[in-house]
Amino acid sequence: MNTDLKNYSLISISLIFFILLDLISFSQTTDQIKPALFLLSFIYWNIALPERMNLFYAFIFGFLMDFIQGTVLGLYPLILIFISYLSQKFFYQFRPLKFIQQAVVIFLIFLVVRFLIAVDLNDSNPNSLTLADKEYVLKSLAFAVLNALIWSPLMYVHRIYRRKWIKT
Amino acid sequence: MSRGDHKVSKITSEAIFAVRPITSTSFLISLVLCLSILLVDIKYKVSDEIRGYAHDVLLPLYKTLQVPGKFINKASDTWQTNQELRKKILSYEEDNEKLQLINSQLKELTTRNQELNLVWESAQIDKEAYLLGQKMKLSSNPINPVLILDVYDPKSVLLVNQPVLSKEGIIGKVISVGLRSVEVMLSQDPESLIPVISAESRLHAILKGHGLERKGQLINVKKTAAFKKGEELYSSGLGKVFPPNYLVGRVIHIEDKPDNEFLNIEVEFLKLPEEQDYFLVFIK
Repeated sequence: MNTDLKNYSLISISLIFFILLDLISFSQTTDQIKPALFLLSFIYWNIALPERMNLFYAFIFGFLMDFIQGTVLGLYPLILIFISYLSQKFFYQFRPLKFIQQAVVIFLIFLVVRFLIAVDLNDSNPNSLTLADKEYVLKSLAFAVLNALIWSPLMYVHRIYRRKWIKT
Repeated sequence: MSRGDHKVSKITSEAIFAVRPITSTSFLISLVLCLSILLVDIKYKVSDEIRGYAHDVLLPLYKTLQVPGKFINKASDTWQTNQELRKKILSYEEDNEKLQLINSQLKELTTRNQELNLVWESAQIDKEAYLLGQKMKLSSNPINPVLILDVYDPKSVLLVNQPVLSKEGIIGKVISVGLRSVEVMLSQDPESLIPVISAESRLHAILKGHGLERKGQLINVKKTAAFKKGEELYSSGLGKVFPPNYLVGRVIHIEDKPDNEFLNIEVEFLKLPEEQDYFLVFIK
């Protein structure tokens, strides 16, 4: 098989695997704060192999996420395009950072993502631009912290996978 | 190496083999494209036409995730050898769910009929009006909760806006239909509006959702309205989307704020049964 095609397939398989893991349902509260493994994986691939990750991934997986999450069509592609662009623009700066610093960046990214998802695009609440309430903010903070904490172990898992299977 | 794959240093004239990130042009084009799709979808809700079919495509994915759970259940059932008995139990369970739902409707109907002196025979309920749908996924997004059901019945016609019920009462309505998958907007969704009538004070109102695990609100209720704390709310049937007399929620808080021209009435929705795997789609 063509190396490029093989690499693209392996990256896609890992992303689909993490989407599957994200789909596993627990209690309602747990579901709201459990780490978004797909997004973490997407960030990893953009930082580790920016030359392999193009905007095509952002579109395809973005639409897939829109259907799965029930969000307005185009919201997740928008988020993934931003993540892709920022990751690829600053991956030279991001890679040498300490884990704690990387975790802080991840925390901020996921907090912004959660607030973007809460924007009242359908104008269901005419008095406010966002649907986020205090509870949502607290759960978003917990969600961002958990993602930041899981970033390092997930990065190691990805690194092992990349070194074993993906030839650049 | 083709032209444009690397930059050249202006000092040493050597090639700089740096990885080129996504160009600003492609980023901007993608951004505009995404925003256009977003705006079109917000304005015309075009995605509702395809979401059901998308879930049809994703159905194997959802089913795959149920495999471990099913395997565990199967293993625990191995001691039961009588297949016929199991089938019977399953069919009784389905019937039981339908009957529980009908009972909750009958409770309200009884009260109304007594009040209006209607004949009891008018409450004819057709079991065929309900389709059983298996839960595939419940979205974890609290402010946009979506339930995906697998309703496989080639004989029946599934349509948008058909109400979806649990064994307790109304939990939402169908917003997108595929070949066998349906996407359900839950009554807790901020976009959901359900016309209701209170059980005791017999007052009409509109119940609006505010997200999963959040209280709903009765909107535009005049300050003179005499809703009672604790009273149950049933679908009124106005608007002809939801059938009348199904339990929707319960009034839990009434507040008269001086700076608000309407009453602030908070409603507790029916608890979403996380363990429940089957829901009913009302098709008539």
